[in-house]
Amino acid sequence: MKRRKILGIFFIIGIALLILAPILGYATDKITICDRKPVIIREDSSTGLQKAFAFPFSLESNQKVRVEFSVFYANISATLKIFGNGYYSQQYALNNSPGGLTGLYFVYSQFVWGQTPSVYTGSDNVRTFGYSEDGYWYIEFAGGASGDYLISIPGSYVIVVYGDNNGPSSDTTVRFNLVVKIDGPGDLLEDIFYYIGAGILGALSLYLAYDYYKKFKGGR
Amino acid sequence: MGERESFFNRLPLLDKNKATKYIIYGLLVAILFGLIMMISRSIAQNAQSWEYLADQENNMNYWNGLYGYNDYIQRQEEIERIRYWMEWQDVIFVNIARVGVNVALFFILIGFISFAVNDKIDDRTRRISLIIAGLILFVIMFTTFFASISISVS
Repeated sequence: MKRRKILGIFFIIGIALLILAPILGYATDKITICDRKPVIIREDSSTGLQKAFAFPFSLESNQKVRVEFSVFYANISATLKIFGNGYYSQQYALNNSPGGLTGLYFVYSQFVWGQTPSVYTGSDNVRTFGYSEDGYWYIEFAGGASGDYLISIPGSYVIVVYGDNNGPSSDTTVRFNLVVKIDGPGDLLEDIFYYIGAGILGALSLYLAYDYYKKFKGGR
Repeated sequence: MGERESFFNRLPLLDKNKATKYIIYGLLVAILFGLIMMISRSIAQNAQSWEYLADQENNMNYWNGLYGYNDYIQRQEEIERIRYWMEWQDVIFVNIARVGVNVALFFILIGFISFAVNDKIDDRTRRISLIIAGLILFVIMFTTFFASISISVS
């Protein structure tokens, strides 16, 4: 009776792991490290890097970051660039204008139903919304890019956003929305849960088959 | 000179119950391995269908904005890898099943031979058991030395 209980518990654990695997994988696939709507900076961000919005992050090998950059505010022009941490620190100390600096390449995607993804994908090192231009960009970054494909370069980077407001002179704010997500351990956790769950059920099946064989043989 | 031992007397002798058990063990094991082989073959043959479904899901997830272009490509490669594994696992499981089925057939063969040499059973049953044992031996030999059997009629 006790043995049956233990076998039952193991069976439930195995099934639970198999059910949890895809859920856990989905939940931890991407981790949100920044979700701000809106971010408010000043117009002087376009003249000096020290006033621009900066969000630092680190990447490991084969890890990428997703940036959702959007502007839906009146009179705003905003620009996004990504720099390596060393280059950013150097330029920050000099307080150079971010407009004159060259960012690293990333890939941006546009989601068009029924169309081949590669047609609406591109790479660039800057994304800008003009004064009369609202919009949303989905950006992927892993250190570098070649064509539409990311190159994984682990290291420390900084997302920089600066802008301008051509509205009334009393309004000097620059507003934009920024969401930054990074690859999480979702895939790894999903695989581990699948293997352990299947392993437990497989081991249980073998044990029960062997047990049945012993009983059958012993009962002749 | 002593009496010459007949061919049948030199064969392993199992009583009726043991022989029946051997036949049942053999049948169960053969059915089990046969099932494994058929399931494995079905997975391999339908791997392409699964790939089409997974590709379409990948496309729709991309269009829904769940992830970007490079994630889309990564998932495409992953789908292709799984499809190749689904086709390859057929080789592994079919060969395991082949060994299992042949071992099971061997047990069935021993069971029927034991019926054939058992002088407590009527002659007709012994003759039928011998014929069945011969057929099973033929199948074992054929499947051991040939990969597949095909018959063409022209």
